[in-house]
Amino acid sequence: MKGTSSATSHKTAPAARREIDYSLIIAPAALVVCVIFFTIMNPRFISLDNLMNILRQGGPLFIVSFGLVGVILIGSIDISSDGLLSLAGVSAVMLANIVQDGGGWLSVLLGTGIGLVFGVFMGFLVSYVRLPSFLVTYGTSTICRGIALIVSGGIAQNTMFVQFKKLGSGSVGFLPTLAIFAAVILIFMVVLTTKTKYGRSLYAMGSNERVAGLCGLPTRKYKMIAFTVAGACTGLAGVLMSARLGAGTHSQGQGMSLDAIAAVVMGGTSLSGGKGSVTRTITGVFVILMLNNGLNLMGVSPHVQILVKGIVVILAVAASSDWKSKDIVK
Amino acid sequence: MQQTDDRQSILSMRGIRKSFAGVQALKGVSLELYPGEVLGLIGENGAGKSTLMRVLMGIEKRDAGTILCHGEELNLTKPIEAYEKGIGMVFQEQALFPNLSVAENIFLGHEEHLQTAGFLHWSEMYRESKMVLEKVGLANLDPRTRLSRLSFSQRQMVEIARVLYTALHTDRQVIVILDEPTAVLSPSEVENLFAIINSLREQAAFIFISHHLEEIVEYTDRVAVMKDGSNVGDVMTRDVDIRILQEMMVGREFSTDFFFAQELRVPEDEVVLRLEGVTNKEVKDVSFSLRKGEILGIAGLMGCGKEDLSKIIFGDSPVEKGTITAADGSQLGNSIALAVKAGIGYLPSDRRNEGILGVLSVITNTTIANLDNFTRALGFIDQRREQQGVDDYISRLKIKTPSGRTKIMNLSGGNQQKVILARWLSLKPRILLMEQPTRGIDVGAKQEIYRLMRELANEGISILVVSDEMPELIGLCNRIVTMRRGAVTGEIDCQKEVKPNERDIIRYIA
Repeated sequence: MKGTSSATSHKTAPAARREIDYSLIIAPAALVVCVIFFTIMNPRFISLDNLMNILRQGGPLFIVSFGLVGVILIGSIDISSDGLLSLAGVSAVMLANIVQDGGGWLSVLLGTGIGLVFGVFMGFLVSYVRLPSFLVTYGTSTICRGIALIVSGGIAQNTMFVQFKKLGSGSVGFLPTLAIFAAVILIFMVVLTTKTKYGRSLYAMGSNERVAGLCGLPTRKYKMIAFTVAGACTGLAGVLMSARLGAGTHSQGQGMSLDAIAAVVMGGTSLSGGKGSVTRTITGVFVILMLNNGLNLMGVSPHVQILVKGIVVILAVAASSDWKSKDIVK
Repeated sequence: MQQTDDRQSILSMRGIRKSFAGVQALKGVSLELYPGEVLGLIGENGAGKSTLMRVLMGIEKRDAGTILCHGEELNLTKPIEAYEKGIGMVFQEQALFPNLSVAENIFLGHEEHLQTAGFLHWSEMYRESKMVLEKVGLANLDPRTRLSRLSFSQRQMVEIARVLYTALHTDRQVIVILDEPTAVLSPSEVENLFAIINSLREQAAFIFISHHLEEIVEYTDRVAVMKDGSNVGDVMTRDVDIRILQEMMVGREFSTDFFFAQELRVPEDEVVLRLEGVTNKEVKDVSFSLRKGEILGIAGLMGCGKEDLSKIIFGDSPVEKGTITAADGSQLGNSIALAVKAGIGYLPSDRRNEGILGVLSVITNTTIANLDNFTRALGFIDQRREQQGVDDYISRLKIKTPSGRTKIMNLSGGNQQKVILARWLSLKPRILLMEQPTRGIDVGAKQEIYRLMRELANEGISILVVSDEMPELIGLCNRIVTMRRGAVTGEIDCQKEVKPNERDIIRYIA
């Protein structure tokens, strides 16, 4: 078979040309710049301690971003993470306080389950009721934060239970538990998107949903699954975030949606769908995390930090856009 | 064949060249237009008529050639500049805004002199609208009326008014391009349209594109004929009849071998698809059957319902009444999954929007409709088997691609079509529904597609071909079903001994 493929490669069609995909270079380049810049500003940045700290802090962002890739691959968007993270976190902490011993894994189940249910809810509205994903997920985020406020009475829910807190702050050897959770989700998402019929279908739907439908793919069902997976990931991330902080509050997770979208897009996954990958997202997440961590080490005020991050996100999207193929932008 | 004329032309296009992705659409075309005349522009689909007009309007940039309008060289880059020069086009698909008023539609884009600091002078706009509406026979129409309340033919008049408006402010003649304006008009509406056109000869000259040669002969002064991106004739209408025009359009060197007609076989008796009384918004009471190994053509004018037929069979367009029966007796309709399961593949005419997954690879594009065949347990794709399967198709269908990983959008139209063909062949189909199978494909690749279609039919696959190209239908098919206004009007035997000519078919569809 090798013979045929090399034989055909000589009959190159004239129209085919090699393209340089600049969107793939953005994240690695940004990463290098970040590392060099922040190390110069504060050499402690590059220490093993700090890197482990970044991994631990970044666990939730990794998990949210990996889940989000599926939704962005089909050309939809999910900005429900802000609210969903807080609801999952608050619920998990309250459950841990009720169950006490053994509450750790039950909390993980509850938080992930809440994410999953809201994922199904959003997926249903987008695929079957055909509402725009932007508004559905934004609305859901607000609903979730509202529920979190109601059940917690607006008070931060603290927990002292070690089993639960260990999920967020413990380590296995020198690896933070949170990093292990992120790695498991990473492997799951990589396999799902690159090795399965479902994953291939996500790319097809993102490239052209009409064509995917005309090829007999169950596009609505697949779309709903994408939102469900993203929701479940966000739910899990919310639990782990609360475990690390030892508390669940209605305000946790603010800004997470923007960070995750920025990480995914910077990694070279196109907002218009059909192009990108989960592995590329890793670099994107690292850039966002190092930006957060590095600016902290430099002692930049949090107020200035969010300003800087907004600018960086817009620059990243601009740099990874495919200008040539765009006529109309909405 | 160029006619000499001592009048000064108002438009002179010379040596216009234009290619798309390496395919020459216009190979040095020239066109003259004289004051007050109605020029017919004819040619088969793909001859380059529309491209030439789009170049004139500044929608497409020409590669070479000159355009003189009233002696002044034109280098337009967008249609609005053409309007300013007094060149306007009435498109096949209307380019108006139904939610705006008639007056707003007429002035949209050239309101400059009707406003002060961004505020529009509405009363003046309505007064000027009234003036141009009178000229197109809509004197009683209030310019404040919303466009959506007008009939189709009235809207067409509004489009003409939009072009004429520019003539109000110059003493020069304007140029109005009418791209198949009569395709959806009734005979009396057509007559009315030309009565108005004749009354406007003082202010305008017209370029009239049409497939209806009767209208060309009846209403034009002169006819320009195009074929394969070149001029093949320029004649005074009074000197020709329909038959001469047809011969000029098709070309004398045309041979049936192009379609491998000698290899056409008589199909088997087994019926693989039967439609009975199929009715929906686009078609009414359509019945026919497709036999094993048969190539069945569907012919008809634009809007006759043939565009919807394959979509109905494939389950993409709804069936309201009637039945579609597959070979095993199962009922189809309203479900793509059912059609795919019954071994039906669909190659749409709009390849770009309904056929290819542009940013994805040839491999993905080939296997996407049949991934189950390339998966192991739990939906895991066997990538080696997939790669091998695709390589087989690349060599069998002679798909020219650097590799299976190349993005399909980087292939030529013909090779994209082959990939879509491979997509459905991997399903081991019984039936292929092919819409405009060679639209936008250059001549050499066209014949490749014809060869494949012939081979597949002779292997026992049944093919339904929906096409605007008469020679293609006549050359390829065993049988042609004709349609008019959503209904079947005839069935023409097309075996190799009894090939009909185009006029035999046009009788049933016009």
